[in-house]
Amino acid sequence: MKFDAVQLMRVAEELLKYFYTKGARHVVLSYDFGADRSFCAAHAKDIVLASDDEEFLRRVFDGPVQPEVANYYGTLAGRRRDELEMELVGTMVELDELSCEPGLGTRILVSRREMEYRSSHEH
Amino acid sequence: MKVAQNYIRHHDVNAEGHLAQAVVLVLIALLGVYGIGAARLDANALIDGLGIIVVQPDILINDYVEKAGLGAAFLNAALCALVGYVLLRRSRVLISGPAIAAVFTIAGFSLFGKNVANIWPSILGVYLFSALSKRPFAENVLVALFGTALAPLSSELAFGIGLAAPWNFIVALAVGSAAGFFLSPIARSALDFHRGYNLYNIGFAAGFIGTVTLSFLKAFGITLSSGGSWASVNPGFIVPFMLLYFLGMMAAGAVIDPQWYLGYKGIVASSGRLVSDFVRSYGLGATLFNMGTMGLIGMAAVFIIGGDWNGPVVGGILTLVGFAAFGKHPFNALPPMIGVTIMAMLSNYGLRTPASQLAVLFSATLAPISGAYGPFAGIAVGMLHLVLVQTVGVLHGGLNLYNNGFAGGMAAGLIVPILEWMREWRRHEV
Repeated sequence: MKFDAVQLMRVAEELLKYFYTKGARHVVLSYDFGADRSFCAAHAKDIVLASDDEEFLRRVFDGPVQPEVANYYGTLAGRRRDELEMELVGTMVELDELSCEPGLGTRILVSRREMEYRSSHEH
Repeated sequence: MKVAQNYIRHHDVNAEGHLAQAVVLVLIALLGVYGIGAARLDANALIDGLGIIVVQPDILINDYVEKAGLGAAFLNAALCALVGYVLLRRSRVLISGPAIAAVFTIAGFSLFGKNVANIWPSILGVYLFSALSKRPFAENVLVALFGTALAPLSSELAFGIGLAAPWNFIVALAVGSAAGFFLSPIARSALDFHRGYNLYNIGFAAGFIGTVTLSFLKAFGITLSSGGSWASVNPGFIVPFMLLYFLGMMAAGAVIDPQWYLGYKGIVASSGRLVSDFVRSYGLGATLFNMGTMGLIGMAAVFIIGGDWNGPVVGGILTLVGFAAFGKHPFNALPPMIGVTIMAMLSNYGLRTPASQLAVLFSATLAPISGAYGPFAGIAVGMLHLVLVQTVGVLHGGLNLYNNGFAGGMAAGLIVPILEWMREWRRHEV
């Protein structure tokens, strides 16, 4: 299995745990594995995040993807039973969409850009 | 399960990454200037000193201050840190907590084991691993930098076991590169054992590689060179320099971010478990303040235990400071340091032995345990750490510079599952 696919699944595990801690009991995970870019969507229909929680998530993904951190420490994501690794998740994927609407629940869409991930990290 | 949700405020991570480069460059410049000043601008003395450093076998603990003098030792630290910085820049990675920790660690250990020659084989090994894995070196640059823990392996093979030139250099390069090559996958796997509660994870992985290497050497009747050195210089030569540096760091943090104290509240509330990038999460200002604070705590610890001032001790303080950008803060680092001190006083080891003195400083590798499970857990694991660190060095024979990382990984791996079970049991989640 491709390393990047595994990394995305670990991220999904963390998102799933996050939703669980926020009270969600019906969460749908979906993936779209592409050659250049892979997506993961986590959808909790039964919760709407509070504004503080939404702000927290946006800040988690505020910084750039950090390949050097994600590649080395990424194995820690999705492993712990009693703690979340959202800070690590923020270094592993980009946030493409975060929506919280009454009736629709909360939806998070993240992605990893394989080729650009390797070369676009300039300052 | 709890959710750590203490991100304080927005800050521009990329912009602060540029400023963080200045932090690293200032360290390099200060080490270099101090080294040149300590040698009284005597270029010949510095060159001779660097020559002495390069041909050392470097088995732990080999104090470059004792072997080559303050000037050459600090200049070597500046040069090695510069290598680390250049590699990070060439890899185009963001200079944040992990990168700062890596450069400070290299600088610190370049006072007692790493030098401008022996760090390259393991870096080459990680580069080859990246190439063979068809991944960019940038993804493994942290492993390459921290992986210089195995630098003594190359030095020992080149200068310690009596091989003639050029075979000594060929064997040193080949074996050092092989060790670096295998370090990447082993380091990732090692994380699983302690679950991110041992900050010097590469030390844990390098300890196993060092143990395997020593076992092979023994199998063929090759014995490691003996020796080691431990200086004790007048604190007046080192302490004022470090004091000014750490106070300057704290002042710089307050200037960079006038509201640094908001971020600092988040830092001290953090468990510090891997991955805790304080620059990214709480801003450079608060992180610099924390780094300066940890530097002062490290210095105070040396005075309190009556420790010596030399290369390894300064290296321990610099590592403490570097990891204050990547997991350590006063509340989580002090309990294991106290635990080590208590156990050293209770046991036969005492506080005067080099290993005990270093363990006080490097035991902060277990800071995440007190951060996550409280100060009593931190003290307990610190006590466990001391007894392990006094013993496990025999396994790798000093080939792994991060002996405290090796012992810390064992201590964390043993104690965390128990603490985790106790916490879940209390929360009725078992």
